[in-house]
Amino acid sequence: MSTTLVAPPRAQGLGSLALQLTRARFSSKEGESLLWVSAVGAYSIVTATALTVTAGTVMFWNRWKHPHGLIAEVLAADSTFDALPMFYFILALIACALVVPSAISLASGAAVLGARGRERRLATLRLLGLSSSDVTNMTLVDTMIQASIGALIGAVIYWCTHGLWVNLEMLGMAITADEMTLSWWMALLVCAAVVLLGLFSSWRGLRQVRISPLGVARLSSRPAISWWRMVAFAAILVFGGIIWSSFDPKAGTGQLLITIAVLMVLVQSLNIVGPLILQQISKLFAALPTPTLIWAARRIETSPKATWQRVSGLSLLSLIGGFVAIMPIAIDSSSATGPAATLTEAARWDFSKGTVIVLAFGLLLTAVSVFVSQASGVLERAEQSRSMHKMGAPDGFSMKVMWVETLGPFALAIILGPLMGMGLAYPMYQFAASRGYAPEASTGVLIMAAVLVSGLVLTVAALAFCHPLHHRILTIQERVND
Amino acid sequence: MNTTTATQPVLQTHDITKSFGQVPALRGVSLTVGAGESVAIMGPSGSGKSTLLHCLSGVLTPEIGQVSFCGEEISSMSDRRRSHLRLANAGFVFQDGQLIPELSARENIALPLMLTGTKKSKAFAAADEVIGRIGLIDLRNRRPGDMSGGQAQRIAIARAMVARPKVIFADEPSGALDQATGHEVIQLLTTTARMAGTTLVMVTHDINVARWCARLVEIRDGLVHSDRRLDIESSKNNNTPIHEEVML
Repeated sequence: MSTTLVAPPRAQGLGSLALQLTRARFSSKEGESLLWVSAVGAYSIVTATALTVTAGTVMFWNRWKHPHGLIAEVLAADSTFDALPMFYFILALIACALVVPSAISLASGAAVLGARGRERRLATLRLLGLSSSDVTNMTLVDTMIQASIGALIGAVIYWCTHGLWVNLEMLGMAITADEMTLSWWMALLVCAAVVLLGLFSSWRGLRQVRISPLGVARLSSRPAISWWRMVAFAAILVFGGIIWSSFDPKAGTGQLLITIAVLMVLVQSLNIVGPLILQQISKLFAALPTPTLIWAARRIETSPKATWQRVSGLSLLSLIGGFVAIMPIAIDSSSATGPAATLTEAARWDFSKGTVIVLAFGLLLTAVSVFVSQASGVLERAEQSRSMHKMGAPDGFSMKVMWVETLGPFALAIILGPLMGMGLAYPMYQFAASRGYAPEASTGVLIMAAVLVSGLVLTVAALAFCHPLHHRILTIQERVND
Repeated sequence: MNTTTATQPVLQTHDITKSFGQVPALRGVSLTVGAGESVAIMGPSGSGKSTLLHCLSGVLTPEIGQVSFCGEEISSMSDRRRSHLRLANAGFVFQDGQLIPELSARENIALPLMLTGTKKSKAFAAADEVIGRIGLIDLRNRRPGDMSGGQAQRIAIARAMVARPKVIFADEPSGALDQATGHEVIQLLTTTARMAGTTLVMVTHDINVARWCARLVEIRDGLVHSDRRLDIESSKNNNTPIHEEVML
């Protein structure tokens, strides 16, 4: 008698099962519905920010390529002023580049946040016979639902707020609602990019865990950070510094673009060395006598890259703050005449305004990112927190660890960022000083102070929002499946 | 039904009732546990044995009835005071260890002492002493992720013992281990507790684990079904079940 093995059919109805599981999460007592809503909220903020920043960049593109109003008048009188709107456009692109890392960090955090809790269910489904690719597909469906809802809400937020920019003047002309309105296809493209970013982050997150029928195992990367980062950072600092210090604002467009690219590399180099510094400092703190500090330091020591990623946006923003503190960029209107004088006078503080706007968006994204990552951590460590509570650990011990774990790297970011920013601004300061122009630093210092204070307030608020979730987890009287 | 204790009672419940929503977990349980006693709590799934452990340790408070912990009535105490009482007087061993993954074995063991304000150097010295006593000194700088399940559970036992608590509460301490390793872990837990004169209250499904204790309390439907003394030496070497009805 022969036995024939029947080829297993492909799993059917995964989409509807993913939807069913999504609904089930809302009835969970573990605060998963809050996390699901938080993930959607994070995607909404990323989308609204991305649409607004893109709209602003497109506005500068149009003012450069299709000049009208005062700019057209100035160009008609002196065509060399063409460089000014182009410079604004390049700066808008740089602003995008500065906001993008914070947005990616938040989208990644949202994807991870959305994944928490569903991993155990996926392991059960693997036990029931779903393949690894089925589980991946289900996760991606779930992420797509979250990201799509978030993108839709974000688009609505953008649409409701884009009219608020009409009170602001740039390049001597008030921004109009029309200028801040993206074409439908471009808006769709941005929304699609956010959804794709979420999907990619989710897929990448799944690669960090192994979901087998026996359970979920996290693939841990080697926590030790290599010293090559310090060498690479030093090399970038030396070579980039040489190019940057030879910066000449009157050079041609090509050289200007190269210098800006070098500047961006210099700015990003902080992310290379940040995790290493963080890990080395955390090792020192682990030797201190307080259990809160020891635990927080050990957490940082074991995941320095993830910890740095949480504050990298803030370090970037405080870098900008440090830069403008030394070298506030303003247009010199003293030598201009006629419409050009009107334009340069009106646009004198445009760069400061632009800096404040970029910083505001960046801080918002960073604060939400802190909330998302910490809320996710609170849920992930729920069982551990309950055990600590059972052992009699003082109230709020786990939360104190969370505060130290977040505010410690925060302090490092707001020290390193401004230092680097001031260092980068120094060649420009020297250049200006050599030509007898000593920039007034008071506005820049105010901006830097505002960045640091706002960053602190927003981070503290984000952490405070995690407390109700923690208390909820401790007070849940969950029946053990014994 | 209640077995009297020859020694001074460390834990006492009087007619406690506890429900989760509409589902009653305990329905009038009275129990006294003396100093240095080792008590196994057994019962079918959903019988209320873990709830009883949590009420005895002050993690949960009963709706009706009183619980006395080391002579102090705790059922009306604030959560903060109960936590402090546990930290100073109790050790916990959980099914899956629940060690802090980022901390080394030594740091994990020293943590309860440091939380009560003991100096780090003293806490580490005490941790080294306990870890040396259980023969795992080589593991002291390893993190839980680099240990086997049995090793991690031994470290969890060391953590529970380090502050020289009056009571150790263990919730299925060998539930996540294979039989041989589980046997070794329970042997370590019970003998260490006995040698230190520490009271041990252990919830278990396994009658072979319960045999390591001097007393067996069986819970059924939220009530004490039976409460009897065991002859540890003879029951450890006896492979036949104490009572068939206790087997799950």
